[in-house]
Order: sequence, then structure tokens, then C-alpha cells
Amino acid sequence: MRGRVAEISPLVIGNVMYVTTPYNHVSALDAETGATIWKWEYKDYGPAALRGMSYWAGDGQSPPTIFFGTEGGYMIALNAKTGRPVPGFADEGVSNLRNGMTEKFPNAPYGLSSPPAIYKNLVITGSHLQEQPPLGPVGDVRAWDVRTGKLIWTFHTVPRPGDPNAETWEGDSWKDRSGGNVWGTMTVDNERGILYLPLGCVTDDFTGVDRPGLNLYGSSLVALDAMTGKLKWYYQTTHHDLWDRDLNAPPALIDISVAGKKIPAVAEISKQALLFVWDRTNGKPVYGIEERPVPQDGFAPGEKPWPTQPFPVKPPPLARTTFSPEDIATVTPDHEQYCKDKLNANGGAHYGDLYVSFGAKPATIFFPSSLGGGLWAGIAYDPKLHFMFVNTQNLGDIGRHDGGPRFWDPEKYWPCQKPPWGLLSAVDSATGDIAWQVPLGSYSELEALGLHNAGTPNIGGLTATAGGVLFVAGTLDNKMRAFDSKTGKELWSTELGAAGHAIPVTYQGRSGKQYVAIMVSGGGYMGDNIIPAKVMVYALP
Amino acid sequence: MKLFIKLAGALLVLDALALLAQSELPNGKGKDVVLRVCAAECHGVEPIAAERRSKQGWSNIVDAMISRGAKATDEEIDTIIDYLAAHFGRQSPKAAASNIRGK
Repeated sequence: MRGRVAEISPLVIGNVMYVTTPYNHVSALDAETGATIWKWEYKDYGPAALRGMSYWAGDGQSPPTIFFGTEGGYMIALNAKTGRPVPGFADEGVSNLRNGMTEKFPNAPYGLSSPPAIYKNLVITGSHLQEQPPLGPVGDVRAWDVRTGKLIWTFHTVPRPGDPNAETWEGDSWKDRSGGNVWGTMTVDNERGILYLPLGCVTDDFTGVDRPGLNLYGSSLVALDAMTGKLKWYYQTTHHDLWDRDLNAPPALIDISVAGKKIPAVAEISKQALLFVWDRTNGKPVYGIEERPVPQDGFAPGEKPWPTQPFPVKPPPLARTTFSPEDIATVTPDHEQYCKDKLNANGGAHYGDLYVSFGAKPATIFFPSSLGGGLWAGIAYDPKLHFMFVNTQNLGDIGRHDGGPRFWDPEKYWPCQKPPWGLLSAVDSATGDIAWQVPLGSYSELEALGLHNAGTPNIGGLTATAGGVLFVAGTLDNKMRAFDSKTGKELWSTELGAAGHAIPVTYQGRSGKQYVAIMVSGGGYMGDNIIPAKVMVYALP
Repeated sequence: MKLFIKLAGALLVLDALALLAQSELPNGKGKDVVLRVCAAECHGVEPIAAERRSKQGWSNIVDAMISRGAKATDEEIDTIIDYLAAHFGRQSPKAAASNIRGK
């Protein structure tokens, strides 16, 4: 069996674990024994969305339903009890999401890579779109009736003439503009009826000559009335994005207390590793966000970079955002030479801080890479400690005008700047300050040389248990670890056989035992080893 | 040229991209499959031309792309991996170009 990537969080409802796989089947398992309850196989819809599925509890008319998308552009509704498609939903349980979106661009990719959102009787979809060229299917977010699959509302993620904020696109540059999509995961405040969209960069990700303006709602957090799809508020985290700074992490809905005042907040970690925290009812920054001037020189002819970009006052960036030659890695003489050669090739690379221009030199180094300092897995929260937890990676790109390839040795997976290469941080929500920060991951080859806890690049998420333990995988040393939530002390680790580029889940079985489950396949866009995907489940003592 | 491509209509973009791709990938068995499966449908030729990996490294990348929706038969997958390992292997001459992005 060929290795295939899965980044899902298994869904556990009662004592049943639901798993979508990259092998064209979906299974329901006994969450305590792993025994198969049902298995549904399919053809022709494309690989299941990388990051899993959603659950609707059902009502008098329709059964409890598992909804998942495919990279082929379909959304499928399965009866959670039987594993059969729900006949009343769309076309015998299958909705073709390409309809209405790809007619002008029939060869363009259009699919789902993340789970849909559920609110009352709506199932809400984003999309996984092309990286280039700039024109293609648009990133509209759509809501469907959970029972029938009928389209209920559409939100234009690139506003059209007559929509609010259409003026952020000069001329006709809005037209057929691809990107600006939710390829990550949306969240819903069920109590307030607000849907939060983490929106990606509009295409082309690195060139904005043909799209002057702020380019709303590219690289923005957008809050909608979940029932109607009407805009409530938005906050753009990268103006006129030229660096592929998609928002994509599930916006974390956390109730916090700052200086004695209770705030219903939403927290979002960005690819820049900036942690943005807003009042989720109105978009007001909790710890302050400043517009600071950024470089304007050295961009492509005709480019109009936005003069300022938003920076959270607190916390500081949670991963490396700068580079200069004295930062080159010296972990071994060979690696140092390899990295210096990369840095100095073709007359030497251009480098700088966040929002560096892609200058006249053949290559520009920028941190974090387009894979992000933080990425699609987002943050975890412990309400007792009031800490937000974030895993990030210190990895750069070295490229011509549009990022990458990675600034590392792709065979060893060692970045070209000094460690740490992966970080785990706790941020105190009462203050916005870092409570603790530790390296995340460690390469055994470097441990053998006496270099401990260098950290590794990592993609995947973390889960915080009520018992004060954090579980995190995603590191390129192929481990899952447990940390003390209060101190960051490592408590436990285990080998997974490949990287677990996924968010662990925790649940209680019918026996009363607590478990932690992690999807393991490797292959998180870093070229790391891929194995046939498997779910690994651990019992807690 | 690049600017022109970006301002042109969609069909023209695809045609121009195909021309650009052909001009930048070296000839060899499997080039046509790489152009169709990888370059025309998803990400152009630059992310390919920028990378230097072992055969195992390329196999990992191709499997990751198939998992994300790239369409190819098993035979075509093997052809793609062989082509990439032959022309963009660890020892192949370096070229500056672009990346594979994290979506």
C-alpha cells in the first residue's frame, strides 16, 4: 500500500470513533477496541479532505450525519449509525460543490481540504483552490441545508461591486480573483450565532501588481451572522498580501478575563507566528494591535505594497521572523558550509524582517516560510490556567520572487539558521505575555553530538486536557509528547513511526478510561517520510 | 512576460504556462506526464525546478501531492518519480525558483 497523507482528528461521539481515510473509505470504530462498526467505500469523488469531518446530531426527520468533503469537490453526507449516504441530502447523499463555481474554469482544482462547519441546520463549506494563476474559481463560503443540501446563503470572500468593501479592489481586479478562500477550519459561536472564517491570501500569493488595493477579505479573519451569512466584522491581518500569509487556523473561541473584565475572545495564530486576540463580538483587539510602517522599496515594478501592517502589541512573535548572516546554523561544520553555500549562491541572498521585499537579487530569505510559523492546527486553551498554547516552527524560505524552497537541508530536515527549530509556547490570556516557552522536538543525530533539544520543524496541533497535560505531535522526529501545561516540562514521549501532522484528540471510553488518539502518516508538505496512514490510540494511566 | 501572463485571460494564462513549463523542464521520459499532472493543473513548473531531492524524497513529495488531489495512475506516479529523481536529484545543478505551499 502506498503512503498517503492524512491530517485528520478522529471524531469521537459516544463510544464511536469516525475516521475518514486517504484510501477512499470512511469507518466507524469502537473507540475503545478499534473494532469496525461500519465501513463505507467509494470511488470517483477524489481523496477525502485531509483534515477530517464534521457531525450533525440529527433531528426527528433526518439521522445523525457525518459530513466530509473531498479534494474532487464533493461533500458527502453519511448516516452516522449505518454508514450509508443520506438519500435526502443533495443527490443521494452527495453534493457536487463544483457546481456554480468552476464553470468558467472547468480544469481548475476545487475541493475541500478541511471539515465543513455546522450551525443549527446548516453545513457550511469553504474550498481548497489553485495556487496560481491569479484568476480562477472564487473562494466564496456557502451554507447548505443539512437535510436537503439546498444552498441557503453565499458570502463573497472577494466583495463584488455593491458589496461592502468592494472599493478595496481597484478597477476590475476583483473579477474572477481566485484564492481568498477558507482552506483551513471555520469555527462557530453557537450561543451568539457567529461564524468565524480564517481567510487565505488571494492569488497570486506573491504578486499583487494586478490587484492594487487592500484586497479584502484576503488574509483576514471575518465574522458572519451564521444564519444569514451577513458580515458582522472583519480584521485583515496582512494588507495587500504579497507573502502568502493565509489565515487558516481554526479561530479559537475562548472566554478570558483581562484586568478583571470578562471578554469573550477569539484567538488566531498566523503564518507569521503572530497571535491575534480580539473580542469576538466586535473585533476589538484585546492586547492592542499597531499598524507599523513596513519596507516599500525593492518590490517588482508596478507593485504597490501597503505602507503599514498590523502587529499585535502582545505577545511577541512566537517564531523567528528575521534573518541575518550571523544567524547561520553552526550545528556541524558540514551543515554550516552547506547553508553558507545556499546563502551565498548566485551573488548572495537578500534578507530582512517580516514583509521583506523580493528584491533584485536572485534569492530572498524570509521567515517564517510560506508553510508558516503557526499553521492550520491552531491553538489550545486551558481555562483553569488561562493559558493559550501554540506550537510553531522556525523555518525559512529562500527563493527568487515568490518564496521557497525551504532554507534547510531537505535530506536531513535541518534548518539553515541556529536552533531552536521548533517551539512550544504558553501565553497567559490574562496579560498577553509569554508564560513559558520550550524547544519542541529533537533530532537523535544531533542529540548524539551533544546538541540537546534543538527542536524540529513541526506541522500539527496540540490538545490540552483538563488534567493539566498537553499532547503534541507534528515534529519531524516522529514523536508525540506530553508536557505539563503549567510549566512546559516534558512528561512523556513515544515514537509514532512517521510524523503525526494532526491534532491529537482526547476522549473517555465507556470503561471510564481516558484515551489520546493521533493520526499518523507523515507527509506534511515538508517531504518527510510517508507511511500508510494509521490512527494510534493511547490509554492514560 | 510574467506580467503579461498575469493580466491575460484564463485560457491564455494556461497556454502561456504550458509554454513556460515546456521551456524550463529538461527533456526526458515522463516530462509530458509531469507537465500534465503537476504543472498544468496545480502549481506550474517553478516549484519542481527549485527542488533537489533523492528518489525517496521525491516519492514522499509525489505521494503528498496525490493525497491532496493530484490525479495520476500508479504507473504515472512511478514515471513522475523516476523523471524527478533523474533530473532534479540531490546532485543536479542548482536553480533558484519557488516552493510548495502549505495548503
